[in-house]
Amino acid sequence: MELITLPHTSSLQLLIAPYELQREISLQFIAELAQLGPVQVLDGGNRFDLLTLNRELRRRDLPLYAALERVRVARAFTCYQMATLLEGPAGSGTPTLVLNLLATFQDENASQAERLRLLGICLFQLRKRAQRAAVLVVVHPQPAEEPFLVRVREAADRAWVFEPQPPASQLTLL
Amino acid sequence: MPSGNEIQGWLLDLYADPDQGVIVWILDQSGTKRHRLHQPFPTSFFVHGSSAELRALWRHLESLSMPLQLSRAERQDLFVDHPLAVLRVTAPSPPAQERVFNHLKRTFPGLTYYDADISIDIRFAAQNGIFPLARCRALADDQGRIQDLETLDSPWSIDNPPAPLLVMSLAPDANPSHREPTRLNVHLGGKDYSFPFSDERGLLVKLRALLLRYDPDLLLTVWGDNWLIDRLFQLMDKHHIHLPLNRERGREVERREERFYHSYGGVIYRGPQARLFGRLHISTENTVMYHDYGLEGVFEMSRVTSLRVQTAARVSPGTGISSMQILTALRQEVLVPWHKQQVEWSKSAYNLLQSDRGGMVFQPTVGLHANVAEIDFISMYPSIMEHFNISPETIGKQGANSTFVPELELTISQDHSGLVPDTLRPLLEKRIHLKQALAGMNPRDARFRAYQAQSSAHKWLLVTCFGYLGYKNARFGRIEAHEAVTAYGREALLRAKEAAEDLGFRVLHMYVDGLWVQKEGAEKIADFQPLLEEILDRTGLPTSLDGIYRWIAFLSSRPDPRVPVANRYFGLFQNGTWKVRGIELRRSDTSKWVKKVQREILELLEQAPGASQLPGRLPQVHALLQDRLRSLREHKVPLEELLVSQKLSRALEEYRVPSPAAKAAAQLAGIDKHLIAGQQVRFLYTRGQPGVFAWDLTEKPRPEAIDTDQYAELLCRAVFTLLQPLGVKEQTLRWWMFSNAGYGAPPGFLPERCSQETPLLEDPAGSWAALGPEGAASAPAHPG
Amino acid sequence: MGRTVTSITQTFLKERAAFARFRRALRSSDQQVLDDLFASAQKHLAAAGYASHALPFETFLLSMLLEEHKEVARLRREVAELRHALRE
Repeated sequence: MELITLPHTSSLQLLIAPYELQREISLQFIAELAQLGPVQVLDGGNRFDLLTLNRELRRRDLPLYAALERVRVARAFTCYQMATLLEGPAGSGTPTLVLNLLATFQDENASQAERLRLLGICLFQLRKRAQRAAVLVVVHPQPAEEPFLVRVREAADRAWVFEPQPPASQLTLL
Repeated sequence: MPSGNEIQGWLLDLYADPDQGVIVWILDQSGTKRHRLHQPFPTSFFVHGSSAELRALWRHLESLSMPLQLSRAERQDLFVDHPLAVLRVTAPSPPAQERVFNHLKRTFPGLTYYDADISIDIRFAAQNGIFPLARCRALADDQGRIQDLETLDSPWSIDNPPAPLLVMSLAPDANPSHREPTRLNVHLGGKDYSFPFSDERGLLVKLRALLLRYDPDLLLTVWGDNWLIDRLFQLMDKHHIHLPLNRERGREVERREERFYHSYGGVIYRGPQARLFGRLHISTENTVMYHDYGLEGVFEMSRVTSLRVQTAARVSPGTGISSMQILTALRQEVLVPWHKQQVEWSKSAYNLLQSDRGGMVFQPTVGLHANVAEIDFISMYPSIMEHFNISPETIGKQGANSTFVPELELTISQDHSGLVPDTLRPLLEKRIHLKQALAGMNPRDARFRAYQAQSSAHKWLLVTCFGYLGYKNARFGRIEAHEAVTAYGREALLRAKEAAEDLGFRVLHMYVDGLWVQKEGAEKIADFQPLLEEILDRTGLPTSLDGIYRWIAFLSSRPDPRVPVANRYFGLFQNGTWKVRGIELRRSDTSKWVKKVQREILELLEQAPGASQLPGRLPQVHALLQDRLRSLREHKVPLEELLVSQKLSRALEEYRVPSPAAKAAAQLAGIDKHLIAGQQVRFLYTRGQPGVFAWDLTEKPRPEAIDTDQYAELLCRAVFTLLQPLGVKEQTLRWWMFSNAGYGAPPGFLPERCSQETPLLEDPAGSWAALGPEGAASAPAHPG
Repeated sequence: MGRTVTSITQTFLKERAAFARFRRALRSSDQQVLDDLFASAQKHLAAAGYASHALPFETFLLSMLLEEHKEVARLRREVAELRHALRE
């Protein structure tokens, strides 16, 4: 089921969704783009579901290994690493997906001022990339006043917000 | 000819001082004197940025009213090919350096800092080529200022005469988190003392007298960090009697508060700490792995890492490894980064699939096997790092000489020895040296205990250094290096398997760095030696024969007996020792009583000369079980032995259906004892609701309230773990334990038509054994 | 750091869970057989992990086939022995 079709235009899009939905949408995003050319994935949450991606690629009848070669993955385990990753060279015009941008910013090893400073660097770099290719940033649902989320929303051209669903009630056979 | 006093002895303690630089305490070789010396210690750090940024920084630093020396320099960053142009900032003392750096990281956060947050013990060690507890010779003037310092031994030497520290041990007579201690037990100078807490003044006066009279070098406490030091301070305040805990006068005991902080998905807790100056304080319950390697091990940790003794006792092996790497970097004049970390290169998704794996874990051949050898790679991952030159800066680099990592698209430059292998090499060599020495040594040899303790410390450091290579906050870490190590590990294990099979051995099990092999006719060490050599030949890595099992049982999964489980087995070595993994005996949530019975059963099995005689032990096992069950049902088992300890997996409110641990925690919450997620809860299983009785409540339950059925069930499971490999079926065991069935015959005795499910009855007349297949078929069908 | 890709054991459990509906609609005697097949695949998880196939279920199918064939080979031997015994 195609929930939303994200435009593949040069812009910075923000997706706020619970994990299952994040995964579904981001994997579709990657699979769609991998048909056309290289895709850069920056994983800040260490949960990149490679195996489900493989199935998505298979579903589109793509030569699997060729498509896998086009998907470039780099992981950041600290907010410093995330900033350094984004400051690094990006293939001009390569679409970028950032998974769980804010996960590494919850680490209290660095002061909040420092973490906000690093986030600023990240967002600056993401806007630069967004001028040439599609950029999708994915985060978990969190209170709207969270200072980190506020900054990310300000930087985005467009935001897609999905609330966590209440558990569906079971239909009983009676 | 230098004038001055020559002092020989051991370096006991060192710490920073704002005026004198570094204070150094030396325990005189006579064992009777302690010297307090000092050395001015201007401390530097480096800053990198654009020329404009550095100019601005220079101007800013000049404007501060601090006597700083500024200069331009060129220094090596491990990850950059060419030397970096940096600004060198030198402060007059270590505390001054800290102050400047703290100021700069707030005012100039975008710059890159190096050598900025290194502790004084590491800096001192790098500069003077010395380490804590080293034998040394110092030349000092009459004011105690060091003119020359020479190290007379090495952390890598094996037989160092130990420093004759005078130890004062202090232990409250109870665990303060369980109940209020009533006495303080002290041991010093060969005498034992016991002071009641009720006589507060008397306690203080006597402790003060002992401290002044003996002037011990080390206070070895139990609950010192967590309770005792705080209590002593309360008493000192109350009665205005001062205890000279520090040797350094005019300085307070360094007390650090407990801290909780969130770090990447978890909560880290650091308990309170109390450190002394000039005297050492080790709080044994706060000493990582104290039970594994004791005081000897702590000293070895300190010598080998260069961390001062009080730090070495309290930090994890990760910090130890980090310190060793920093020391190597300082000595090689390589910049030590503060926050700049190496990031992963982009890999294709396919490459990620191949790289992101750990060690190989096989599924064993389930069942009982005889004459099995366990062969292990010696310190596999560190050996790989050293042998293949895996270091964060050598990985991915093309040099004049390069090697290719199996499976991954990675090269390793062999042009220069990497920082990490350089750091590990002497540690690995010492470990191998000690292992060989211990293998041939009589346990009664005077050096045996010391060697074992040192070996233990090395083992922990080595085990950690691999994880540290891939640790996100490591200064010298890189995930590709970590992945290269596991790739070589998998390759080595597979080559070892191939070597074994080529030499006619059957491989029963493999686990990351070890394999279990068997061959018809192979029973002695000499029979397996050719395999060890073949493995060395094919992998370049050394292995050792951990032992030959008389027999070993690999267990299957409890819910599904068809499925093998990698880390559950028990086996008896030829030398009579046991190796047991994953079974109830080794689990922290098993009661002492069940563990005891499991151990007793193993002792009975030990008496069988070989695997085939094991079923012959079953009658005794059966008798033992009957006896232990009777004690249980007659309420003769002490309550402490029935205690079960389980972890509270989440906060109480988060439970939808409370686990036994949660129910017990709720009981404790009722008397205002609140436990948090991650803590252990101790309780007993009791009849009726709620089914548990928390242990730390004000009273204990009556023995008649104990749920003996539940404990019998737990025992049954634990016994089945041991008997299943011998062919005993679960139903049979239940009849033995719960239906008063007698022991009839060993597994396999009764013919197939009359399977084990046919109940085994008491056979007092011994006529059962006389029945042939026809007779057995007509035996009654119900258990007694 | 690392440990992004799910472990082979977790992958196996997920793949098995993905067939829960299929299993449910089978006769209970057939469900036992399906369980046996999955148990066979569990014997070779280490090899499946090492293979790091992009589509791991294919490796699991191969493991099931491996065990099936072992059983066939064993039965063939047993039949041959019984034939031999009968002739005597």
